[in-house]
Amino acid sequence: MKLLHKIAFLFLISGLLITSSCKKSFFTDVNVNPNVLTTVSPNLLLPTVEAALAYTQGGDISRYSALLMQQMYGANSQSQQYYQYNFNPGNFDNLWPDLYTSTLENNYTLIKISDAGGYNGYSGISRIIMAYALQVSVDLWGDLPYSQAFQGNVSGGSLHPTYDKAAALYDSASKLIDAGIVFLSAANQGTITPSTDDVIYGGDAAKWIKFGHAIKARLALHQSKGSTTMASTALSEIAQSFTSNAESAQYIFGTQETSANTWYQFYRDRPGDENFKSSSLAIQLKASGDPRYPFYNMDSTDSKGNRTSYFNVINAPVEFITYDELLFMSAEATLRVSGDLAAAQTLFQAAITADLTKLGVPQATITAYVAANGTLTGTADAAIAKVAAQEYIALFLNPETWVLWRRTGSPALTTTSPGSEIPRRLLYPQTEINFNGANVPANVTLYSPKIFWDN
Amino acid sequence: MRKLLLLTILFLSFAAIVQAQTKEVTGKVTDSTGAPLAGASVNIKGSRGGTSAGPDGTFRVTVPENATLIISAIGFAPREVSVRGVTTVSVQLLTGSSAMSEVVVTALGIRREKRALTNSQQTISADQLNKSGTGNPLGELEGKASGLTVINSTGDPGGGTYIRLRGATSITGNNQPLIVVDGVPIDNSINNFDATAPAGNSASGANGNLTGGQQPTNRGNDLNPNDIESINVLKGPAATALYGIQASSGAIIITTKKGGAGKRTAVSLNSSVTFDKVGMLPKLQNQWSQGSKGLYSPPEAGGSTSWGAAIDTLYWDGATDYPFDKHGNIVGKSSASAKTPVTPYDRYNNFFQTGLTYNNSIALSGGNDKSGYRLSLGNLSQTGIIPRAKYEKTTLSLSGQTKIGDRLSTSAGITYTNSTNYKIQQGSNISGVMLGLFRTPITFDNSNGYGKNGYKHKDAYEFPDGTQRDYRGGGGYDNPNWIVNNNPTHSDLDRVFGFGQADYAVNSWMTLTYRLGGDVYTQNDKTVYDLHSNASPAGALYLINYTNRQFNSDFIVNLHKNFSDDFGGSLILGHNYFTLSQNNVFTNGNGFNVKGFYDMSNAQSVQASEAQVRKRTMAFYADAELNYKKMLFLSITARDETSSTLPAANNNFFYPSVGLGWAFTELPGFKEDKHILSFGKLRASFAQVGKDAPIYALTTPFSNAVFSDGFTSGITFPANGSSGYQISSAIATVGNPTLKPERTNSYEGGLDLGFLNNRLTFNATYYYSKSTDGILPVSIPFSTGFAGELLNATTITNKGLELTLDGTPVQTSYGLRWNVIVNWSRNVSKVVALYPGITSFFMGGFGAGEAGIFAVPGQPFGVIYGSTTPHSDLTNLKSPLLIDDRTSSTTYAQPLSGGVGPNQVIGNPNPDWIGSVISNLSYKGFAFGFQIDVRHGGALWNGTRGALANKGTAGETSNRYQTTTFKGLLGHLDANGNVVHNDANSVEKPGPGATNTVASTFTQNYWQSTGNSFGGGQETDIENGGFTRIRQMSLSYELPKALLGKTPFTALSLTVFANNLHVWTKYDGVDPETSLGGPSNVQGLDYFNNPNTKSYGLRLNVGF
Repeated sequence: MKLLHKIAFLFLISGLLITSSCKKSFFTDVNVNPNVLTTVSPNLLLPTVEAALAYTQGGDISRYSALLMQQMYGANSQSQQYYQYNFNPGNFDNLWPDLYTSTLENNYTLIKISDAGGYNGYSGISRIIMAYALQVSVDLWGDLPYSQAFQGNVSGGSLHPTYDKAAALYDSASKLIDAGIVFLSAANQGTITPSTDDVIYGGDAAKWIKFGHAIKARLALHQSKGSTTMASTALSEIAQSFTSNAESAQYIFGTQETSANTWYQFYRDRPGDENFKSSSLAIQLKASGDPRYPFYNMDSTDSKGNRTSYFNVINAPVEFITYDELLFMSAEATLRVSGDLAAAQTLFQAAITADLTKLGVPQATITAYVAANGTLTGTADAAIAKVAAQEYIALFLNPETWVLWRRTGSPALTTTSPGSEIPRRLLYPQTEINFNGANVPANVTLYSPKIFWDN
Repeated sequence: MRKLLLLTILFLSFAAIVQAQTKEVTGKVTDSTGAPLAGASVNIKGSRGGTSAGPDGTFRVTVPENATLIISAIGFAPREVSVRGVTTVSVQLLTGSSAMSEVVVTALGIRREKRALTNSQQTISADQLNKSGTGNPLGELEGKASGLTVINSTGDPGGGTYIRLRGATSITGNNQPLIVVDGVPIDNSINNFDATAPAGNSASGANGNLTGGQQPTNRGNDLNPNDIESINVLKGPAATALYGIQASSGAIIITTKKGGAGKRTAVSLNSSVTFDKVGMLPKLQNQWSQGSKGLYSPPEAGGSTSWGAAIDTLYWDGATDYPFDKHGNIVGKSSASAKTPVTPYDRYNNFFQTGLTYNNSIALSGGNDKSGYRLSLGNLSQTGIIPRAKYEKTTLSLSGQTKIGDRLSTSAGITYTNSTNYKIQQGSNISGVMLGLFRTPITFDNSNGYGKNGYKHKDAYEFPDGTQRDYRGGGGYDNPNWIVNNNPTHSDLDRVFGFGQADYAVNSWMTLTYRLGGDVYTQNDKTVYDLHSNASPAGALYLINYTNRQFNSDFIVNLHKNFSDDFGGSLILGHNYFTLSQNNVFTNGNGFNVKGFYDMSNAQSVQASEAQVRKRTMAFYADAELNYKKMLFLSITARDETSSTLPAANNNFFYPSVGLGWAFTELPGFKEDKHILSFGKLRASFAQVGKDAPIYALTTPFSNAVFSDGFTSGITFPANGSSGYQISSAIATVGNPTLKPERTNSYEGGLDLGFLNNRLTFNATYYYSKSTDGILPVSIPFSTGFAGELLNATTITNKGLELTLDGTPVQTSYGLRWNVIVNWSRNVSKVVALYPGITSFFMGGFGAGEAGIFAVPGQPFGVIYGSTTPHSDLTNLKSPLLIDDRTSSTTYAQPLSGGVGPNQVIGNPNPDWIGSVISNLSYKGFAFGFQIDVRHGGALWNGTRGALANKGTAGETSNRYQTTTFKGLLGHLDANGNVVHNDANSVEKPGPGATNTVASTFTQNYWQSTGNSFGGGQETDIENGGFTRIRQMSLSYELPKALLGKTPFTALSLTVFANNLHVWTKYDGVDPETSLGGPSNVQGLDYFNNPNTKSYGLRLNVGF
């Protein structure tokens, strides 16, 4: 019996040990993932948001617009389909989540964290990023979920967000910028301020404010056809924006394969799907002896096989709004407000010069090019078309070219798919139709409804 | 705490009652002729104690007064002998098949008489396994038990095996049974990585979506089949309720061989050699060259198709400087430079090898009257049918047991496994070996004249500058010989698992058992895409280190008492603690500086990440069994479990089971004459089991940022000098702090019959189970900022019937014996509900518009969902196809191009039934056995065929230019997608028109648009995956004991065997038994799977 007692005693003790360690934490502590963070400071989110924004624009959005605007040629696979306007909703199932989750949800979270922590610099930057993403997205799809979006992890939040009207979203973008500028102008920027984590501007609040004004200039100019007021607004925003190439809003990618520029990656991972040399733009530039051809020639490589184009070296930039675009915008707005050809021409020539300078074209070549191509004559509309035609070349791979073409009809492009016209908008993605079907606008095609400013 | 007190009080009160008397009993076991039965097991009924008979059939065992001994030996009907009032016994065993008084090892190592079982279990003995020498213990189970589905993902060395008992209950969780070795659960994970999959897409685990990468391995492969004594298959929740969460999908209880106490030292040697040949392959055409529209196009033009000129119109020009062919350029017959006629290259024979497997195992066992031990060493060395594929496994296993005094016995076992596996890229992956091989035109030689040895010669697959020599001028898909050399995956494993156990017989009716088991391994994988690989042209290197640790502790109080001669019972009380910890480190290097140097230092950029996974569960359990007159058996189990993966407020759950068995043959009327109906039992049981939540599923954290877009591999942080975190991504799921456990209620009823002194036995089980609160990452629109939300959402039912017939039609006194086992089972699963509003859930494969495996309400589990080719009734796939009646159309008089009809369920990969016949005929020392497996029905998506038909290499495309009249109704779709047909005036009228009578031609356009799933609906490539196959055939001869008498040998046998000898099937892709999804829930897809093997071999068993 003695032994029995001992065993029973041991059993009791071990049981007590187990039970005493049966506190909640015995289990709950185990279920905490040590490889993730439960909270982050804004400087850990901003790099993600900026890279995601650049990756999203420089990826599908840039590829779609470059194919539709014939700046690139779709030779194989999906690119070939897209080039001939064969799109179905499923084609947007990569772009949409990159936009709504990686870019916008993370940015939405950045706004919340920054506002709660009083990190005014981040509150401002994240709002300007949100405004920019809204502007680009509205120009692709028109109506979009926004005011009810990003509620997936909010208790009781909508899992089926409604769609806001495109024009209202332009207003939202504008207000976001106004609010962002207030944050960025606050005397006290809070305990954490952006610096190297801000790849776009290195934490320079003044430049972000200028970027904000540039977006507002775009918002206004997009609506300026037949509206002098909007063109004037654009001019006044431009006046508060960039003053040199150094202030252009762009994201410069890293020098590693896993942080490489989007076009560099596309040429690496999908070789042969697209090329530059067969595009309308390439043919035009080559024929005219344009000095930008070698800078745009995505297909060329050096003796070591490295890409040489300005736009697809490993650390090439994805441009959001550049100083030269701002000058082109001001030339167009000037023509719309006053029709002052001389004033517009000065701005036009400055725009071309800024673009060529950015690429690194020698000064003598620039001077000769401007002399040959920088004159505006004829009616205001003709001059606008000429400005747009040059802007179309300057904004290589920038989705703004598609907006420009839809707004001005310039440059004149021939359809790549006889019987079909060039699309004027994107379709909503299949996932959105599947999981938010009740709210997705119905009867959307590549041509209708047009974006509200497209008339 | 309360539970514990209760247990303690129970324990103490029982303990206080009696202290048993024990005595020593000696005896002898003989067969009907009086010959001693060496090694017969002698077990004490209702306890874990026992011994085995020595070489002379005698045994000595210490037993409680009034104990009953159960004497058993393989091939003989066990007997029960009471030792009440005696100290010597003499037992004669009669031959017979699985009689009902046999003892089986059930959940938690509890030994129970078969007759007392109230649920369905099936035991497979060692002599039924190990006939083939493949070294894959789980793969060997195929066809051996009813209700058991076994799918081997490829025939590659070390290829994974998926097993499932009855149906699947969880859409995203593990549906495979728990593997238990000597009472301790061991890990059967798939640790795999697919470098070609989008970032964040896991190729590991039950829900891994594996479409490319290299063939996966499941860790159950690490066992040495030669160490296995028997396997008991616990089929349903009723049998496994005691195991809790881990065994909610059934359990495979493996008992390893032990050295017996009192046995003399014995050595047993098993040695086998197996030759593997490539099994079933798709038929390829052998007439048409690379090119398009009937024109030859050379490799350097980069074209991917074989729609070129007829081969008999082509000549080689004999140019010696043409890098793509040693015979020179291909020119037309009429060309001036035409020299020799082109003959087709043999793609298969110039690539596949004869695989060789050597499987050697040696075991030493022995003991004295108190102790026993067994030491075994096994080595498997296998090369594949694909060049360079290789698997090497060494296992060292030691087990022993000893008795300390009369009451305490201890046992322990430990197994060390080391394996290295050289794996080959597979599947939907431009570095997938079959992709490049099957698509190669007949005018291109991947081996460049070296035949089977192409892989040994660099100039077969690469040019001097390091770029690839392939049929697309270096682009497209990798040359298969390039892949096996330059895109290797090495997987190295070191693993130790084992247990230690102490049993203390407190008295005759109480035993205390403590068992601690552990399973620890590291798996180090290294995957390389060399510079110029098409999947990763800059070169990439992936190092993945998996470390897995799990420990399992059981404390069991075993109480059993016969209250009277008629009434007995046992009660088991237990406590279980289980802990799992995994540390996985992932390092990825990109951009090689030097080709062919596979070291991380060679990468221009390196990224690393880690994942630590931890989990704990704890449970109290009880198992009560009552029996009355050996006729009525009641068994009740209960388990109260707490899991760390559930929310703290709700992390404890309880599940019971109850079962009743009625051996009606004990009734008067039956009892007297058992010659015809020897045994009959009806049984019924109910059980509830649960599954806990996925690990770390309760919160939405910030993780290292990674994103991509399907075209480029994307951005991985840190990037640009900064860290970056994300709360969301395209695959981010919102955590749910209110998750509940998944629950399954299972009901089963069965009938067990034994006839003619149990020479013929029949078991039937019907079951129904309903699984509710299944956890599902419910898709939500991305505009919510996330991809999904984890919810308790799904309801799935399974019902089925399992039949097993085991009979010995012939058994003669002169030694001829023929035994046949027939297994048959059918499972019907139904996804009753997903989350409200969710009409389908993507489980894996290729997405909605392509062929994917989905859960769809109202449909069976894991159906194939995809696009369709327009039928005359768009939503009815059984209605005739629409034959295009627009004369201007490119598909005029052919079926319309696919994808226009709605995406819908296009196939059900679950078979209607599966069955097997296992026959064993023996005469004196000769034994001839075979096993035939049948899978009836079960659809497969044959994407391999789809791609090959599109590319023009498929055998069926030989019919090009032949005329045919396509079957269907004339019509087309109007601008709104409605079915219409043209009337005589070419005016569109609603609905389909008349039956097509217009002749058409099998054109390139047909094969590229409507004839296969690459252009037509995915539906086009759904095929019946049913088959009948000769799984195994063996002939062995065992030297008679008399002959061996004067030699040092105690046993000597030689076996010749063949596996997968032949398969009859209508399926025409890669073997219908291969699976792209590997050992995961995603079954039913064939897309350039690595093929299966058929093998022949020789096996030698020696004992001395």
